[in-house]
Amino acid sequence: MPENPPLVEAEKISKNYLLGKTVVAAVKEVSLSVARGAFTVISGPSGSGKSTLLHVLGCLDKATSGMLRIAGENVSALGDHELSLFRARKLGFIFQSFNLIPVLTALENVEYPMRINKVPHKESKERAREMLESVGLSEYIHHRPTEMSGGQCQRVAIGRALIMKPDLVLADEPTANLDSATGELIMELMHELKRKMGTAFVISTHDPMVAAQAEQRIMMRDGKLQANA
Amino acid sequence: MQNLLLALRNIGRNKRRSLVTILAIAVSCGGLALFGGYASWMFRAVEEQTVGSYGHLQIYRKDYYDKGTGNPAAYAIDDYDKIKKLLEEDPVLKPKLDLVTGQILFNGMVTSAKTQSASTFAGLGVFPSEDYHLTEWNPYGITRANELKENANYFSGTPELADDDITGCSVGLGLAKVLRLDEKPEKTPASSPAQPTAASDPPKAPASDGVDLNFLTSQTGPKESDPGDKQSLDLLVSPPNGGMPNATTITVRKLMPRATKEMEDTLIKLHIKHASELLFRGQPLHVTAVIVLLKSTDDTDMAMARVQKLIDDHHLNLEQKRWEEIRPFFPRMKRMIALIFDFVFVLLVVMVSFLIYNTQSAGIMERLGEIGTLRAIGVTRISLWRLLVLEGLMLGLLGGLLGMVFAILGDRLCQVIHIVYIPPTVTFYAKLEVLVLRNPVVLLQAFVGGLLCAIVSSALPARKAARMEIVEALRHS
Repeated sequence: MPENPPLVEAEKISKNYLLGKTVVAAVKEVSLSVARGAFTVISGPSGSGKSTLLHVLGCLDKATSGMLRIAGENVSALGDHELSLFRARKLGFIFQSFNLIPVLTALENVEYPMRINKVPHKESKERAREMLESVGLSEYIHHRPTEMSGGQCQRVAIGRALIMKPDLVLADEPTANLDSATGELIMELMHELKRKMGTAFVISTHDPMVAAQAEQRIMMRDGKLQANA
Repeated sequence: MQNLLLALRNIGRNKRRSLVTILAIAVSCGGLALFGGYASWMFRAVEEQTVGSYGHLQIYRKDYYDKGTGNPAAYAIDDYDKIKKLLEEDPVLKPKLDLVTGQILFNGMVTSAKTQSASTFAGLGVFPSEDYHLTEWNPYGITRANELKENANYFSGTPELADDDITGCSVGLGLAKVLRLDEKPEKTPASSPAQPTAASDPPKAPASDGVDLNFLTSQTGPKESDPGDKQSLDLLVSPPNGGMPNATTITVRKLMPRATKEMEDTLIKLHIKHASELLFRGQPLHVTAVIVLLKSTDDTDMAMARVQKLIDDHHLNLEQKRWEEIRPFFPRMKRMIALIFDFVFVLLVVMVSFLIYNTQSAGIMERLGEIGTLRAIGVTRISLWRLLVLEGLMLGLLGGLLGMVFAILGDRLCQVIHIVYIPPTVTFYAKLEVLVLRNPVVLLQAFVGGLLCAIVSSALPARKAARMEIVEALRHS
């Protein structure tokens, strides 16, 4: 075993979809690795398979073939229930449309992953409050998503993704629904939290501004890995 | 707790849809509870009326029930006091007993000298005060016929019979019409020579093989002085052991409605000592049935077993019947109402289930992206299923609680608006009641029914949502 094994090890990952009677290969034998604490960007044109790869890496979708190991766990072998628990403990997600629970306040949204992980109520409330402070939303803790701007919602989503101190955060087009100034602020925040918490980020994006900040850049085209730099 | 909060807030998302669903559940649960309360009232009213006439158990001489109806007196029990004492002093039965009394049933011919009319009749000899106690049995507190102003014509005024009025009788309304009796007969004054000297000491009739005119005369002073008195009736009965008929004259105290038309057209109720003397002249008191009234109907099985043991242990030539056997109408009616209730229950369950299914399915379809998010951040399938079913359960809970309020209001409303009607097979008014508060089991049944409906009908869309592919669900964000 190497001394510092990578956080993510993917070997010949393929993902096929059945479209009617046609098999569509969205990802074709992709192998890659992501180091702990790395800031990785997956980019490529629409339909290149970057979102599919992100979903597979985030254990939201199972690869048709290949092996995926995250934080030393062979997730390819896990069942749905175990994968859910794994996601809850080890992974965080940031979505393009923020995907906050609209009936919960900012505080409750950030608290939710801790509820899933059965963190005691008092502790979870305190930690959620601190997290919202660290993303600059201490005045919005009791606001619901509909009462906040897109940037504020994405900050809450980042707080939610990081609250369990996951090893890996996967972000799907996190700046796509934001204006460029807000997008830059969000990226700054993600960098800051990455530095503070040592969390690895894998981001799928079209945005050159985001891609330019990558420590590791993965280019996808037609489901294949074109470049891994 | 978080799930409960989330479920409640999700219900509040589409307020109008949730409100319509909650109202539909409430109306269904409330309607079911009200119908259950109405059925419960019917069961208890019929039970109260039947037990109030026949007691919980009737003890007869063996074979009376099968063969004795043609000549009941032939199967009379001649040691009534001994049996009554045996029952009343039994340590097992004693705490459960309300009353032990006797009745004598017989048939004969009745004539009215004044109106020159005659008819066959069914005579029922009772101990007046004990019979009154029997008819007053009402453990459920339902409104009795004699409490209604609509029945005041029948139940107000002179008591039907009196312990100290040996010759008094009450006549069924139908029979009174046949005999063309006054609608409101007034009781012959107590000082009337028609009264025997003491209730416990009825005049003895001399033995005779022919029509007992002396006995007739001794009982009915007014008949001699006023043979055309409209309040007097002459009864003619065959002695149980054959021979010439016995006769007596009785005084009509009251005309009464009866529980059934048949009884109303035939029944004459009179003092048991007079009836026994008429049939068994010069002999000790006879009864055709020993009536056992319990404090609670729930003890009927126990009492029946105990009475049977006493019969067996003392080698008594007796048999017993419970009230549902004596009046098989009750179990049949109960079964019919239960079937109607089941039918309505199924209809409402199907309707409410479809409604909740529809509400839940629509709610889930609108939140597929959110469901995908929950799954992505680590909510397991079973936890998500529980959350969605909890939403259905909350709808059922709110609807069920509101339904209970509706049912209680319906119960109170029925009490206030005073709906009276003449039920089938009964000849006097009854007040419509729904025993919801007095029989909370119906509330509980309707409430639990609503909850089960909610759980079952939300389980299916919840299962479908929980089994969705996460990526597929996230596409709806």
